Amino acid sequence: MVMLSLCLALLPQGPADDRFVEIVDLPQPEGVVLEVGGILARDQQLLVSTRRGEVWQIDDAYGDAPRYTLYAEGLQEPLGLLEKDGWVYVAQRGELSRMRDVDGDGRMDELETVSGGWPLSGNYHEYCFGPTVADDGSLWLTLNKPFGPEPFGKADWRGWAIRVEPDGSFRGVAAGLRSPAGVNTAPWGDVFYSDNQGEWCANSKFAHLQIGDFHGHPHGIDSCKLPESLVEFPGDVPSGILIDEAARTIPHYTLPAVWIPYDKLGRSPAGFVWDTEGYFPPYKGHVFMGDQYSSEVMRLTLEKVDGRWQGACYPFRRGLKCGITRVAWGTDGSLWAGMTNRGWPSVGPAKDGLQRIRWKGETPCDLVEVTARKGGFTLRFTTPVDPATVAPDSFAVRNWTYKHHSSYGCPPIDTQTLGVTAARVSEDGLRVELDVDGCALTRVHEIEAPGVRSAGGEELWHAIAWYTLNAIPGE
Amino acid sequence: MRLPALLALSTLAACGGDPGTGTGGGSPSFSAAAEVAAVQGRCVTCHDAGSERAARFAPHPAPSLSEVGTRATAEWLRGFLVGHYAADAAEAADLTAFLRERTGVPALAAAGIGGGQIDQGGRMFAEAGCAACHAEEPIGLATKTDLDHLAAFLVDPRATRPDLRTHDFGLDGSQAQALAAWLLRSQLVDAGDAPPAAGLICECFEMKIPAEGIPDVDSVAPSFRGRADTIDISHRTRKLNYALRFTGSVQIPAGGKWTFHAGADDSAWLWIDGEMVVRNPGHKPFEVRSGSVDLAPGWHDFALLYTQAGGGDKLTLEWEGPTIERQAVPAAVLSARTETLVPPGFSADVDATAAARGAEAFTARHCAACHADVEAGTAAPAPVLDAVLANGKGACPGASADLVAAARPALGAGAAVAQRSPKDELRYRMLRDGCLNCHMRDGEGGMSAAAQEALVEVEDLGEEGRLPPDLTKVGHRLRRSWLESVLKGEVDARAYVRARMPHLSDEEAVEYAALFEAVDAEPGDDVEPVFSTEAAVEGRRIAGNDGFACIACHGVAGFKSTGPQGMDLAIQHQRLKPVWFREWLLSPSVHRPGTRMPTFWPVADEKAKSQADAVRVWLSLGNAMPLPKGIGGNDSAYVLESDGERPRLHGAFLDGLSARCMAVGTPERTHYAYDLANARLAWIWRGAFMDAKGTWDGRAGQLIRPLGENWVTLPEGPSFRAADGGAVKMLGHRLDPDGYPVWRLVVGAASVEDHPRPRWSADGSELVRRVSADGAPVILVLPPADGSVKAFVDGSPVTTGKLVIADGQTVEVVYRW
Repeated sequence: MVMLSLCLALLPQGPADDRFVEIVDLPQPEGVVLEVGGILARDQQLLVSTRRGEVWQIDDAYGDAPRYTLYAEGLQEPLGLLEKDGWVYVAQRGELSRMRDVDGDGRMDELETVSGGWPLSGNYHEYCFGPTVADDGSLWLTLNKPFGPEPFGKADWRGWAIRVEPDGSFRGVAAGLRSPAGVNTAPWGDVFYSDNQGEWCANSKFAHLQIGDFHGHPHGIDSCKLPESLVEFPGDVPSGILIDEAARTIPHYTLPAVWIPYDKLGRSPAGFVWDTEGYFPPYKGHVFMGDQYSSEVMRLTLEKVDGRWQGACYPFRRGLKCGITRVAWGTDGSLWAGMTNRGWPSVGPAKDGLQRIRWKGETPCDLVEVTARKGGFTLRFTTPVDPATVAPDSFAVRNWTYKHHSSYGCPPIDTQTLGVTAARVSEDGLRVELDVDGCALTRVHEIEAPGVRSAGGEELWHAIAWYTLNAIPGE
Repeated sequence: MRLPALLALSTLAACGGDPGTGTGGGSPSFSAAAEVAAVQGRCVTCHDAGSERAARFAPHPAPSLSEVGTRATAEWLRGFLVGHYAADAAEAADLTAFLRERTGVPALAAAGIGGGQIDQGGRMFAEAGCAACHAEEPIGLATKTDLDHLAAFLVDPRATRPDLRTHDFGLDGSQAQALAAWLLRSQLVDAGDAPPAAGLICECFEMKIPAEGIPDVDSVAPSFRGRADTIDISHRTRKLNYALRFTGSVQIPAGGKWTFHAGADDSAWLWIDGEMVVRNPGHKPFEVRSGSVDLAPGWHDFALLYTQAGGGDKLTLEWEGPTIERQAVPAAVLSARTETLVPPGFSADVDATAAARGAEAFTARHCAACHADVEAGTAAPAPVLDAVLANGKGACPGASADLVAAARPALGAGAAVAQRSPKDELRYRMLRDGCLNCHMRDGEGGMSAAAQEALVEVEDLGEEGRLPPDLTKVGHRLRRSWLESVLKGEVDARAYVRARMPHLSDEEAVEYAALFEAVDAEPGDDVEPVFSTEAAVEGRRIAGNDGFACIACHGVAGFKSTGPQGMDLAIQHQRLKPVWFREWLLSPSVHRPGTRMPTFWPVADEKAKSQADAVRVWLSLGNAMPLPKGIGGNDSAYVLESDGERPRLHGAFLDGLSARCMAVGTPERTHYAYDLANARLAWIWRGAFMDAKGTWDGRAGQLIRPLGENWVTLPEGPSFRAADGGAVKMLGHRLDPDGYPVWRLVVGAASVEDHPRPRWSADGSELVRRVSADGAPVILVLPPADGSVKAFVDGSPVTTGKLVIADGQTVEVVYRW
C-alpha cells in the first residue's frame, strides 16, 4: 500500500474529481454478494451476473431501496450479459446461453444453449467474455487462456476470439489473446477487446479484433489448424524481440490500438463502453474502460490512420471502491461500474458491488484528446487554455517500446525524452499543435502538459495522455 | 495412584446399605458395596473359597509390576508399600529393593514442555471432571516418576493398570502430555528471565501420506529436526510424500478472538493449546482454511502439521486478531519456548541383602498371587476363606482392616448366590467401576459438589449442559446399540458436556448395554410409529420455525441451531427408543424437573401424541433428513443448502466428471449432479449438499465433490442413446413451477425431457426421473443390476441396464439406493 500511495501521489494533481463527477453506491442487501461479471441496464432495472453463477434482477436500481430478486443461479462464472430478441444472453465458461423470464416473476424460467462445444480443461482461468454483436449481427466472445493445472486435459480455442454462427457452431476469428477481459463493439461496428499484461503480452492493451489476426500469445495457436479457424497458423513465435520486429516478422501479428501503460494507468483493463450519446458531454464518442486493479475508470480516444485504429488513453476517475470488471450506461446517463476483487486484490475498501459515476454538469478544463500528425501531435482541450501558458517547455514528451517475450509483462524499454520544438495554440484556445522530435512507430508516447492552465488560471483536470503511434498521418 | 481406591471406599461407606430394590429383580439381601469390597480385597486369590465364590469374587487383574522399578523411584515405592501390604518401613524398604532388583531401576529423564502446557493440563483436569474420582489431586506423583512415563500411562492406562476399567479417556499424546505436565508441575525448574529460544522446532518426516486422516508421524524417525523461524516448506528433505511438524509456542499479544489462516498444498492442521483450530485436509491444490479461537495474552502451545503427497507443495500461516491485521505470523512470536520438568533424584544402586529379605517377604505375603509377573518363591497355602471368616480377628496381611470389614458381609457362605441378578450385577459394576462418581441412577451417586464446581458450561443449556447425565431408566430410554456406542467412545451426543466419559473395552460396553436393557427395558419400548410422507412433512414442520422451532436449541444434521447448541436432532432416531421419545416430548418437566426443554403440549392428548410421532417419523430419515425451516446453510459462507422451499443450483467443476456440471440441491435433501458436457445424470447423494468454497473462494476452479452421504456415481457416458445412433446434445433446461430443472436434450431425431425430482420414502428418499421422448424412441441408460443403486419402473426392478422409451411416451424411473 505504501508503494501504491506513492504512485498515486506522483500522478499530476488537478482539481478534485468530485467537482465534476460523483460516485453513487448501489445499496446491497446483506448476504448478497455482487462479484460482477455482467451488467444489463434497462429502465429502472439492472440485471447483474456474478462470478458465483448468479444473476440478480435489481429493480428501482436508481432509488434508495432497490429490490433484489435472484433471476438465475447455477451458471458457471457468467461474465457477460446482453439483451437481444427478447432473450437475455449470458456468457458462461463453457457455453453461450440465453434465458428468459416467461411469467414475469423476476426468475428465469428457460435457459437455452445457443452455442457451446469449446472445451474446458477445468482450469479456473478459462473465462469466457462477451458476447458482443458485430456489425453483421453475429455474436463474438473472447476466451481466456488457462494458468496452471488442466485436470480434464488441454483444451482447444483458449486465447481466442470466436464468432457464433447462426446454427450455434462457432469460428475462431482471432488468436493470440491472453486475458481478454473486455470485448465490445464500436458504434461503427468494429469489435475491440482489452487484454491484461502477462506472458507474451508485454503490457495491457486495447486492440481491434479483426478476422485472421494474431495478437501475440502462442498458447492456443494449434487451434489455427482446426477447420473452424479463420486464422492462419503463425508458425513458431520468437521470444525476446522488440514490438516493431514482432510486427514486421510474425505472420498476422496485430499491434494494439492503444497500449495501456502498466501502473501508470491501472494494471488490469476490463470492460469498456463508448459514450455515443455524450452522457459525459465533453467526451462524446470516447471509450470509458474499468480497471480491475486500480478501481478507476479510464478514457480512450481512437483515430483511424492508414486504415488502422490507434489512439490514446487518459485518466478519468479514480477512487471507486473495488476493482472494476464491467461498465454500463445507466438509463439516467450515469456510468455503472460493477466490481470484484476476488483472487486479484484491488485498490479500495470493498470486495464486490456496484457504483455509478454521475456527471455533475460543470465542464472541467481537461486534456480531452491527443491525435497524431506529421512531426508531432495535436492536443485538444475541453475549454480554452491560457495562451500565455502554452510554450514548448509547458510540455514533456517521452516514448518507449516493449519486448515481445514469454516472461510476465515488460517494463518500458529504451525510454527517450523527446524535444518539443514548438507549441502553437489555436485562436479559440481549444487546440495546441506540438512539434516533437523523435516520434517513432510502434512506440508509446507519454505526453504531459504540466505547465498549461485554463483561461481562468486553473490547473487542468488531467494533463497526461499516452498515445500509441502505429502509423503517422501523411507518411 | 492410591486415591481412587480410597475414594471408592469412602463412597461405599457413604452408601451404606442399598437403596430400595424397586423394580427389576434385585435381591433384598444383596449388598453391592460389600461385593465390591470383597473383589477389591482380592480375598479369593489367596483363600480357597470354593468355586462359586471364587468365580463371583474373582478380582480383576492386578497392576503390572514387570517394569515398575524403571518408572517409580525407590522413595515412592517405599512410601506406597507401607500403606499397601508391607508391615512397616523396614519391610517396605526390603520389598522395594527386591522389586528394583527384579524389575529394574528408574530410567527417568528431564522433559521439555511447551509454554502453556501446564495451564492447559490444569484446565483439562478441572473441565474433564477428574475431581469426581480424584477428590484431591493425585499427590506424590512428582516424587514418583517423569513426564514421559506418566503421559504414556494416561494414553494407555491399561498397559500397566489392567485393573482400571474406566480410565481410558481417549487422550492423544499431546493432551496426555499436558495433563501429565500439570500433575508434575512441582518438578518445574524456574527458568528465570532467560529469553525464549527463537524459532519453532521443525521436523520433517519422510513417509507415505495416507489419502485421509492425520498421518502418524511419530511412527517414523524425522529426516530433519531443527529450528525454524518461518512457517514454510524450506526444511523439507524431499518433494513428495513428506510431513512437516512445527512445535513450540506462539506469543499472543492481546486477549480476544484470534483467527489463523493456514494455506496448504496439500494439507495442514493447526493446534493451539492442544485444541485443533484449523483443519485443512485433503490431497489438493493450494487452499487456505481458517479457524478462530479465544486466547488470553501470553505464550500458548503451538503445533502445526503439514503434509505433501504429490504435485505442488506450499505452506503458509497467517493470523489476525484484536490488535493485528491479517498477515503472516511473524517469526518474533514463534518460539520453541520450553520449560523443563526435572524428575526426582534417584539411585541405581540395589542393596542385595535387603533385596533378598524382600524376596522372602514377597513370597510370604503371597504378593505373587496377584502380581504373577514377578517371579517369587512358593508360599505355604493361605487358610481357607471360611476359616479366616470364623476366626474373624486376624488381620489379613494383604488387605486393610477397613476393607476386610466392608467385604465381610458378602463373603459368608450363606450370602453368596450363584449368580447376581441383572439388577444386582449392574449396580455392583457401577459401584466397582466408579460410574456413580459422575452419574446418578435411581437417586444414588452423582458428582460431588466440589467436582461439579470445576465443570465448565460451554452452552447455555443449564445443568443438563454441564453435568454427566442421570442414568435412571437409561435402558428404557436409549437404544441398546446407542448405549454400546457411547460406552465404546464411538459417539458423543453431548459434546457440550466437557466432563469426559472414559471409553470401555468393547466387551464391557456390550455387557453394560445388555444389563441396562435387561434391567430397564419395558415391553413395547421399540414399537415405531408408522411411516408416511404426510407424517414426515408434519414432523419437519413442527421442528421448524412454522412449528415449535426445535431448531432454536437443537442443531440438525450438523447444522447449528439458531440459539444454544443442544443435542443434534438427526441422531435422535438412532439414539432414543420410540416410546420414550414420545413420553419425553410430551412431558419433559415431569421426567427431568428443571429441564430447559419446553413443554410444548399442555395436554398429552391424541393429537399431541400423533404430532410427537410425526416428529419421530421425520427423524427416521436420519442424517440426510430434509432440514426444517429456519436452519441450514448458516455454518459457513460457502456451505450450500436449499432454503427448504426451492432447489439450489450450483455450477462447478466436478471431480471425475467434467468442467461443465450443474449440481441440484433439493429441499428433500436428496441431490444430484448433471454433467452438461456429457448429457449425463452423474451423481446422486443425500444429506448435506455442496461446499461452494472451491468454486467461490479466491480464484476458485477446484474440482468439487459432494458433501453428505450415500453418494453414488451413475453409469458413465451420456444418459441417453438414440435408437438410430444419432448424436446426443444438451439444449438447456427449464424450471418446473417449484424450481426443479427439466433438462432438454436432442437424442438423434427425438426431443427428450429429463426431469429428476426426489421423493421421500420409508427408506429415506428416492429419486424419481420422469423422462419423455418425442419424435423417435430413445434408450435410457440405467445402473447395472448388481450396482448399489437400483432402478425401478412401475415397482419392478429394471435389471437390463437400459430402458427403451417409445416415441411419445413418458416414463417414471425410480432410483433407490
